[in-house]
Amino acid sequence: MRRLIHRPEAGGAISALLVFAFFAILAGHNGFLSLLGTAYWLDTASELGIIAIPVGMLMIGGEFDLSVGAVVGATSMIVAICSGSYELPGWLGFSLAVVFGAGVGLANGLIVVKTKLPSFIVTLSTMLMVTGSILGVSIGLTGSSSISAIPNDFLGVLVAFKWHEFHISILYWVLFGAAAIYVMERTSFGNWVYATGGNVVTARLAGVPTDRVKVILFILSSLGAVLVGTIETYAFQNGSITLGAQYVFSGIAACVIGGVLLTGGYGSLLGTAFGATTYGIVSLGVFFLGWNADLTELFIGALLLLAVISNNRLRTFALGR
Amino acid sequence: MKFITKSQGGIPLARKIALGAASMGLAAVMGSVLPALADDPQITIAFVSGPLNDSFFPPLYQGAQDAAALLGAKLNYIPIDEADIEASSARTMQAAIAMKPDVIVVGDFITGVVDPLIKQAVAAGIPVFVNQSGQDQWEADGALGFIGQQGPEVGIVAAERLTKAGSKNILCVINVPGNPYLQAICKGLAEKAKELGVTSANLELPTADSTDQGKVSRDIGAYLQAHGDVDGIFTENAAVGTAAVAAVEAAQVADKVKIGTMEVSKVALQQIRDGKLLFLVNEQPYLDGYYGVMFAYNYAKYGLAPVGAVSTGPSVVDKSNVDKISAVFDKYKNVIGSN
Repeated sequence: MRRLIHRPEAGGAISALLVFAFFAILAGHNGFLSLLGTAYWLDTASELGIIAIPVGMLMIGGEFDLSVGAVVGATSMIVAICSGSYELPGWLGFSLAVVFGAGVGLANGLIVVKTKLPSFIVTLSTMLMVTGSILGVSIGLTGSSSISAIPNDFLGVLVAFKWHEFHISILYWVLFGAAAIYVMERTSFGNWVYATGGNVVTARLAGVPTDRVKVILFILSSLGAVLVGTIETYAFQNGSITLGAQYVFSGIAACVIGGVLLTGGYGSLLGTAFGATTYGIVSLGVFFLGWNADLTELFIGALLLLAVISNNRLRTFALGR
Repeated sequence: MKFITKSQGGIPLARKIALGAASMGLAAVMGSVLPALADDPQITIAFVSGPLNDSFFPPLYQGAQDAAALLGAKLNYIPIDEADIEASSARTMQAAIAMKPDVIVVGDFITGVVDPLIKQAVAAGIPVFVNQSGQDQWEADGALGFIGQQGPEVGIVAAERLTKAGSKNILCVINVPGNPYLQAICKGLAEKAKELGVTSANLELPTADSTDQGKVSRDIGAYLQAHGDVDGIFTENAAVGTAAVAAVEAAQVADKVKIGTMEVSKVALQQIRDGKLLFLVNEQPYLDGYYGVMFAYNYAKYGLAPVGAVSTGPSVVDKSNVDKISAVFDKYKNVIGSN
């Protein structure tokens, strides 16, 4: 028990359980506990969760990535322009998006390690540049910023499959989450990430290739956004440049709710998964309450704050023993 | 062929002699001839309106561009950033005034911010035409005309259509919380619904969700679970309309819940054909842009303008006329809709 509570994900797990219990009691009779209700929050949690896995790794490594939302929108446009406007096979559009995303991540990483500027401001700039350049390209090529994307090959099944309303993104969340947890807990790369985020100078003196670690993390962060952008685009067969804008905040929020420190060096990806779950439950649960819909955002904000406070209390309590 | 200078711009006589439809036809003929005259100074038009990353605006921009090209006018389109709409509405209008154009066309979405700036432009001798939103204030602000759609009228049409189809409890979904134009539409819907003896409620989507169709669909689905009596939904853009269709299908209440939406999209047109969407309200944004530029040009050049507001909507698309609209949608890019 003592060991469990000392784990960095313990707070996130408690938060997720608390909000689940809250909505199960207050909104269970309105369908929150139904199959459909469960699918709703799990789908939301899984899309955010996929974004939050590499964002969490990056934050543990001591950096931020504000450009993920823009990469989601850019991916959406690239996939839609290829398969919708030019009727190219879907996998080609996806491949282009992967190359683009990796390029953005590489640029983010290189700029941060070469200039030593805060990643907050570097990725804020690349966020704007990504959106602006893709908007220019899409208006230039198609005259529009929102394009129908009809799945035309196996990619459609791979990213848009659903059982009842349970979306295949849940499966990817579990698979990539498990792989990332393995990397972080069991490999030397994982140790390097914690060391880089903990104290970059000490890590470098100890022989950790901190620059390379950071660049790789930035690339992974963009690639997570590419996957989610493709999934969301095909789910509604519509490419939109504004898709994913919310992940600038919710991606980081999921990590923090899950116990990742904003200063880096501490946290866990299992916690991040609980953070995404908490966010998914809260942001959908409020609609099941049947309360005044105008106050929805107030409830979401207040519940997230309560979740973080309880999580933080728990950590202080656990470390204090 | 006298060029009306800015200082003469405010003469009321000019408006009195304007004969709306006739001047438009005449101008179209003259416009095609006049740019050839070398000594005629080019008319510069600053057009402040929504961003092209909002799928509503590409047709509006296209209409403005087409009219400018036809007339040989210089068009300067200044997009408002919707993510920061209050501050951006002020900045863009200030930029337009600073450019000293011959005439300004502005989408007055945030009236509290934009109205004083319209007055400022008028005071500086720049004639202003209000576009798309601002139907209640344009005359008081000293603007010379309004081209667009009256928000409450859209809501009235929506309430009538849904009630006629049998809806008793209508949900009006607002996708940009705090946008007065979108709220005016739901208010118009609520008032008409009350008059017709049916109930209505508003659902304001969280700001963070409005760009994510999947999340919007789940939000609406969850709301429907908690409010099982809802049997009619009206949404204020195409993406949210598609999300609402998906939500009622997932909840297996598609036969009970009727859906109408604003904004044309390829998917929405198909859904009307399939009977999944009852109707859509077309504001005809292409005409907002086209007439916006055309009226501004005619006023700057000849002092002529239509008298009173010119309505570009609400025009309704349903099963009866969807084929014609679809054909034009497919043939001409960015005229009916953008996606």
